[in-house]
Amino acid sequence: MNEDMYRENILDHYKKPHHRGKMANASCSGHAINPFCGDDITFYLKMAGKKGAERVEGVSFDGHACAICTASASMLADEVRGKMAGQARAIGKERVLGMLGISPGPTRLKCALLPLKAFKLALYSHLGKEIDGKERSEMDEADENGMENARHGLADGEAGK
Amino acid sequence: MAFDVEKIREDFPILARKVNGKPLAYLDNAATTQKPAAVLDAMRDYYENSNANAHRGGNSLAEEATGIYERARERVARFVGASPSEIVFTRNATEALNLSARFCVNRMDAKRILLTEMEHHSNIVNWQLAAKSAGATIGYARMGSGGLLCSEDVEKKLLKRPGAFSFTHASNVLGAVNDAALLCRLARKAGALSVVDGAQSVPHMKVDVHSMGCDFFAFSAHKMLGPAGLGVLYIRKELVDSLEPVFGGGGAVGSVALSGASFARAPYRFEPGTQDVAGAVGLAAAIDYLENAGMGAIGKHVAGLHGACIAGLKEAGGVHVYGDGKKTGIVSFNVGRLHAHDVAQFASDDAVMLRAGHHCCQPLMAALGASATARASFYIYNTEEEAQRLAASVKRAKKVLS
Repeated sequence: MNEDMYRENILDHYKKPHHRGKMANASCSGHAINPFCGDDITFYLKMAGKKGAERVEGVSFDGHACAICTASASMLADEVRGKMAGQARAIGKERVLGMLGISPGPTRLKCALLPLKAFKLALYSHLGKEIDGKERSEMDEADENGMENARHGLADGEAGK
Repeated sequence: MAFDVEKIREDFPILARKVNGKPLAYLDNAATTQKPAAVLDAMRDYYENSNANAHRGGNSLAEEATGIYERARERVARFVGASPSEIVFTRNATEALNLSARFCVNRMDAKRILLTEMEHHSNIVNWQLAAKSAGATIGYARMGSGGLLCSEDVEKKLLKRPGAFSFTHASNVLGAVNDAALLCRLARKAGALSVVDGAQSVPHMKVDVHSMGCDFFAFSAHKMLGPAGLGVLYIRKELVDSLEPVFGGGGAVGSVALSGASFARAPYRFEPGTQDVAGAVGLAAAIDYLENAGMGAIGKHVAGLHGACIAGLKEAGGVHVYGDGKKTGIVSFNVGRLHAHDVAQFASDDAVMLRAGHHCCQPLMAALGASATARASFYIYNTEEEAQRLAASVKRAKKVLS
């Protein structure tokens, strides 16, 4: 099980993550935490292009996270760089798990999907859009307590067991 | 009787199972403990032979159930040095702490509460809710080195005259045991009610609530070989009859009219609704089991495992251990820059069950400057071989992830 989870591609991205670090001139950012294990990821995006035809020109991420979460963030950053906002929005749970090449159990699924949540929060804050119902349920899988916090207007990490 | 861990292990059916194809090494006892057959049998026997609604109805079976329930209460009282009328059964330690917070804010004149930064969320959020409804403010005493409360800071903060001071007897993250008798004395001197969270201490040591001098003391059955779903709240006898109940319902009252109700005497006034008699029976059986093995012998065994675990982790290298959990069998640690979650995953795949995360203690973790730790916690049925298996898992995680 373990050997499957910590595959070579995951270990490569974990040990040498791509696009890691804060971005000084970001257009927007998104922050997500997993209150159960303390994973904490922020995505920074540099957006270009006119309204309705935005493009992800630059991307980086920062934070503290486990191997699965770090690798997921690194792969996601590679994936979205240069994409049109519409294409980037379409990335979902299946695509992320496909990139990682694993099917984690419910606990580690939260780790794998946390970067996607941070990325979408960043992108949507730029586009001025709300997360729709289907995406919300995917994100809830990533961090149901974080979403609960957001609904109650609490700071990230205020609540949780 | 000599302490024989191999014989003890035979009493716990779950320890025979495998996880991921390997024998289970259960090192998450600070979260919950496994149950010996004696506890499971006692509960089953109650349901099969004596089940009825305790303290309800005049029928013979209900009287039998009442007797069983009250004998369990006496057993629990004797275990912690209390009188039976000072023992209230709750759902868990969390509910006991929530009740304590309500009792205190309803009773105290001062609009101030003192807590500590070492508390479990169960002993922070309860006070935050109670303080909000009472318009009270909360202060926090600091932790000193070694994961113990800084008693100078407690004294200093008690000068502000809080109406209640609540603290953990032993931290579920660091494991060190606070000097509860001293802290309760300081609280009493300052005119504050004392509320002690004993969830992590009672399973590991002889506790005597009267000599400790606390006003309230909370603990949980499931962390000491008993069933989940039953907690205990000790309330000092000078308080227990004068506190206004927080929950109302059947069985907790003297007489009820449409205009109001009078309440039953303690502890029944705090136990409305049908009670978990089987749970109380299970806890009494767990206490019998623990005392039969000997609390002193269990403490010695656990301290030995704690030492073996620390030695194994030291040998694995690059491990930082937080606090000193020798008395409660807790080893909280991080391995170099590895995330605790990864360490726990490697251990889990070797069938070694750890806990990783913030352990429901975010303020404490902030004080430690860590976002998460891995935690091994040992109890009566663990072995040195299991501690060594943990060290081997840590080595493997280091090799693969560094």
